Amino acid sequence: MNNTKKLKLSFSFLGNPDASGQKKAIIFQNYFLIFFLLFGFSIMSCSSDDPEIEEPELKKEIIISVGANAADAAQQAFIEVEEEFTIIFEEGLFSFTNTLSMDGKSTVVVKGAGRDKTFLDFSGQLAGGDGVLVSNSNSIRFEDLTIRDAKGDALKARDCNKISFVNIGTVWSGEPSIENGAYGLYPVLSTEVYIDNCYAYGASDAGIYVGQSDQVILKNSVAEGNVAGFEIENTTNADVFGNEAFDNTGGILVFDLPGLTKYGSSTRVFDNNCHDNNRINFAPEENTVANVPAGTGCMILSTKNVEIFNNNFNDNNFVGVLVANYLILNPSPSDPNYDPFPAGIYIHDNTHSMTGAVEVESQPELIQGIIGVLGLYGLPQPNVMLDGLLMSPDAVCIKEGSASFVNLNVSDPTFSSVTTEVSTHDCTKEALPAIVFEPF
Amino acid sequence: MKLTINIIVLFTLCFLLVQCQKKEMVIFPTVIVPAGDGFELLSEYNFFKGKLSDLNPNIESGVMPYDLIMPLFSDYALKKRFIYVPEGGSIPFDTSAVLELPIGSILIKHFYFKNVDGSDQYIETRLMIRKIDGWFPEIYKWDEDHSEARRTIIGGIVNITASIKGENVMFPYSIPNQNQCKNCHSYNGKINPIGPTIHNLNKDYEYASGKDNQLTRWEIVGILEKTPSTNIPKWTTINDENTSLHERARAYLAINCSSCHRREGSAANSGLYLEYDNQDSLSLGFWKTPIAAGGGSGGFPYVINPGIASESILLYRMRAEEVDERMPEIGRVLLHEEGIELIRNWIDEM
Repeated sequence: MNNTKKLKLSFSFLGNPDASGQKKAIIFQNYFLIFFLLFGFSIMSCSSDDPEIEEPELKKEIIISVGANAADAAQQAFIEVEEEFTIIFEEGLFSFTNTLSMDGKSTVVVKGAGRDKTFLDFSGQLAGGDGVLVSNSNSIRFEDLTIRDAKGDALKARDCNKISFVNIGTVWSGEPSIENGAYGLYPVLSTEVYIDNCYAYGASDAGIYVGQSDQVILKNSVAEGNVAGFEIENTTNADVFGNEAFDNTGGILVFDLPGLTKYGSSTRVFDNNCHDNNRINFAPEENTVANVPAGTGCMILSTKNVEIFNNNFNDNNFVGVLVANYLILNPSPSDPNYDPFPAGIYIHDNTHSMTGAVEVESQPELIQGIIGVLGLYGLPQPNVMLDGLLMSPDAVCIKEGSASFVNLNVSDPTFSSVTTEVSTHDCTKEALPAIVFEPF
Repeated sequence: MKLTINIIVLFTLCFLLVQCQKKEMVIFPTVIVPAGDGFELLSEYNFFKGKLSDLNPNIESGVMPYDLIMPLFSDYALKKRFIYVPEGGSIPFDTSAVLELPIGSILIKHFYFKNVDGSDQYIETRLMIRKIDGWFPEIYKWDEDHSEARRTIIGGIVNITASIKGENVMFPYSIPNQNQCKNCHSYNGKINPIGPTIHNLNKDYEYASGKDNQLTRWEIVGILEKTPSTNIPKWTTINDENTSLHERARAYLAINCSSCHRREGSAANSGLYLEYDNQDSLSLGFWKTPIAAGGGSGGFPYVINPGIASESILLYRMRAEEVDERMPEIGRVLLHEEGIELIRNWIDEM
């Protein structure tokens, strides 16, 4: 109804005796417009040669400066940030009382002024289970800052694709303690995880932990003073190389646990310097990692296809490399799809030395028992140790030259089948392929 | 004769005209659904008529109050819930999932406490807005004088003094930021409501016009498609002794935990799934060892150690007060004593 009315109105307007005069005006305007356009064009074509007139490219940056409102500003930036932006934390200390979180973002860089210059501090945290959390995101990079004293995990990335951490520190101040958060860097359920030149100190579980993920590169990083230095868990296709782990309880762990969203396989651990990991285990009791013996260089638990080569395992006073079956910790995993038997393990060309004495009293109960058994046989702590719960001997191949070896054969409850005979594991496995992807 | 008819017609016309004019004068503003970000002020939506702080729902424009049988515990906050379904829209009857609300729908949840003198202390009003491309959360923080509530995307921690169960309690209450909204409302990375399921809505409500079953009323006003007359599932309340401990515990865990603790939720990595209909004992926590709990394990070996609540991580985390140990991770500072009691009894009696 309204439309017809409007139409009628416009027709009557055209029928207006003044209309012809107005038409002329419009035609004149059109000539003017064309002239103006042509003129404008000529100016524009000239100006395009002149670089000074070009508009400067918009800097896609959000800068967070130290100040009373910095935490709110940071959280707002994390929520509102758009694609291809960089959120920059300036040099200084930023205090947070809540988890700083990002969700559903794409192509964003979060950058500080340096690992020893920009600190996100969570010592006053009142809410939230993590320090920084990024979830459901794609192509995100954190770089050049340190996250300090988170109540829970320091930096968790969940359900992300292409998540990178470059020159990031996660630190709990003071002497490492059971009160500290579980994980420093904590990518989980993610793909194309890239960790380079990071530093982790004081985590009550793992300094750098990658869980239930696929396509992982963890390199050139340092972990000290954690229960586990580096841990790869229920993860497929990971390369762990060029890292240094020292003064942890265990240096590098590759674990597979039951009841999770996926099982792990295919991890390469190579060219790492994994030394002096003799710290008394300070993980909360009953966590899986609480079973890791102090003095462990590298531990494989139930995972499939792990290649460990060209590493230095020096002065880890319990064992250089330990291969174990989850059944030794929990005889009834109650996950029908879970296979606790490690397989496809290839340990070769690592350097071992052991000079110090192993802690006994402070070890987990199970480990004290093992030390007792070794003592019974008059055996020194070995460079390579198996619990012996394998489907077949060639599930673990060992080419370690003169490294000492013990197979506990724990399936014999009388411990009368303990052996130092390594020849049944004298086999090789095909080298695992390198992990290749373009990190963000 | 003709004249009388004419007079009658004229009279009727006049009457109708007056009626129409009258109606126009008292017409209620329609609820407005923002196309982009939420409005700056809660009042801009026209959810309520009269004074905003009266929270008198604009029923004439489709805003209805509702309630849940088993609500989420949020530090003993009192809640008022409203649903807006746009004219002509209706919700399919589905007991298998959270109800699918039509585009343009809004869920409104108001959080408040009681002051010591019995007056109300309004904190925040949360919205879930169903747009074409999914659900979007908005949060409105109330002015101290209750005159208006203003949009916030970063939320914040407010120190509250409130009268809870007759006691004056001071604690830091968390207004969530938008990401934290999603943390709990996440379903495969998208946002979804939690409360409005058939099971949880199947109860009576005291409407201004009288008491009625909510599902029945929703059907009558045309926002819920035809409900079957029998076998409509119904959850139980936390303290309904006529229902089994098991039923109550599972409904409690479903509403308080399973929005994250499910395969599609934010805590999928834990392998602990507490949906009402999960029957798999390991993922329900029976003899399940902790994964990434850290200190949250309390030093106990299993999430649920049947028969021994005091050594079950599930109960430990409900009772925990540390930031990194307490569950739910977001939105709980105080202990939910009734919930703890329920879960303790449930595990102990296994």
